[in-house]
Amino acid sequence: MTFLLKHSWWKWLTAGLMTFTVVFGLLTGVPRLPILNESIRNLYFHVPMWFGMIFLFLASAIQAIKYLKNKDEEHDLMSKELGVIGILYGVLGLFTGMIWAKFTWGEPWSNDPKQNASAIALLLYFAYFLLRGSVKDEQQRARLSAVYNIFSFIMMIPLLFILPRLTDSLHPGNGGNPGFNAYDLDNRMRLVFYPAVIGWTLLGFWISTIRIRIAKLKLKIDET
Amino acid sequence: MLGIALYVLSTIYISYLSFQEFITLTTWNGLIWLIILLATVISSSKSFGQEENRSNYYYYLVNPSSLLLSKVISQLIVQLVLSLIILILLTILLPINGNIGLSFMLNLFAGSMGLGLIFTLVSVLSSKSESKGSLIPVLGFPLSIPVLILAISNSKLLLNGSPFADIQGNFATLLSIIAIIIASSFLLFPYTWKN
Repeated sequence: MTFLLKHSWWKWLTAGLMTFTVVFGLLTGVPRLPILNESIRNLYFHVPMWFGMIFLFLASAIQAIKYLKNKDEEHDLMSKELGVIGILYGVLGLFTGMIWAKFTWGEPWSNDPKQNASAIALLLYFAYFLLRGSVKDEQQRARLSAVYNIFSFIMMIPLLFILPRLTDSLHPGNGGNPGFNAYDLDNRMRLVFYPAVIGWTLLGFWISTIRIRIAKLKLKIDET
Repeated sequence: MLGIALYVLSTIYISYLSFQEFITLTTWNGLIWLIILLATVISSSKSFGQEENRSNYYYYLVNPSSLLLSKVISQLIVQLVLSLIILILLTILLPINGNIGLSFMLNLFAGSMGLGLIFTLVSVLSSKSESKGSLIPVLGFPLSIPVLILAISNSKLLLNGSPFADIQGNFATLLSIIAIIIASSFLLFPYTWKN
């Protein structure tokens, strides 16, 4: 117990933050806004998915850079597993967003630049796994996929941040001004929203550490 | 080179014949960029795909960035010729009313060069994989979308008669994305190449 508290304190923090998010996200009062109404609570679940996805992909790209630097197989493994969980978060974010859009904008897919950009970002990472699948030599695979990973992360940045601002979007905070202020986030919502972002992101990293450990064990079994 | 030129010529002519009655200028705009995209896929599959036997010589003779530079230059020449053919065909076949000016040409060149650069790096990756050429579109299409969106929206505005001032911001973004692509491909290419 003390070992766990000392070495994986952030897992306790994640568990606490997630409980807080779910309980208080569903129970605390929210401002009554037209169209949004109670569905504004999806803010605690939909938006943190994108934060989590971007942080996971960023971590994946950083591991890819580390792999190219010292050619350590472990970094390649970590880069891959972080990418998997990043895709999971992206898909979840897309689905929560589509459900939300169905009730607020009227249809699940309304050709919104942010929707398109996120769908393309997912396509990029699906292509990353396709590339991994089509190279047999392990070192070659790790090297090529690291290069593609870094390149696609670099190209994802303009996709997610610059392009939606060029055209009109249904998302708040577009058409020039960034941020969430358009939501009229009052202090009650901020109190849940920021812990939710941190909690979901940490949860993503937690899941990927488990996957990384499984992958390492599998590697060990294969070697012996 | 001749093959690519012929490919563009025949695709444009086929679409000219088949869509003759109901196609508008804005539809042509999207069609042009699709044709450029597909022609780039075909031409880039030749750039590194044909080097399989020679790559060992290159490994000893030159350093990676100069090899990439040569490939990029040859790809850019192909893109230039490609967009020139398209420009000439458009002015002959379509009732443009003088909306194809210098700014349209600039945007066309910039967009097709961005595509050429992306697909050069992608062709390196796919030439080293088992499936060779067939991987190029899958890897390259999602990467090329930022460039395509900007270029298409720019040329749509220009075809509808807007002045260059209207696309200035988007054009600058397009150029900066191209700069990012150049920088990252020269940084990353050496890692794909050496074994």
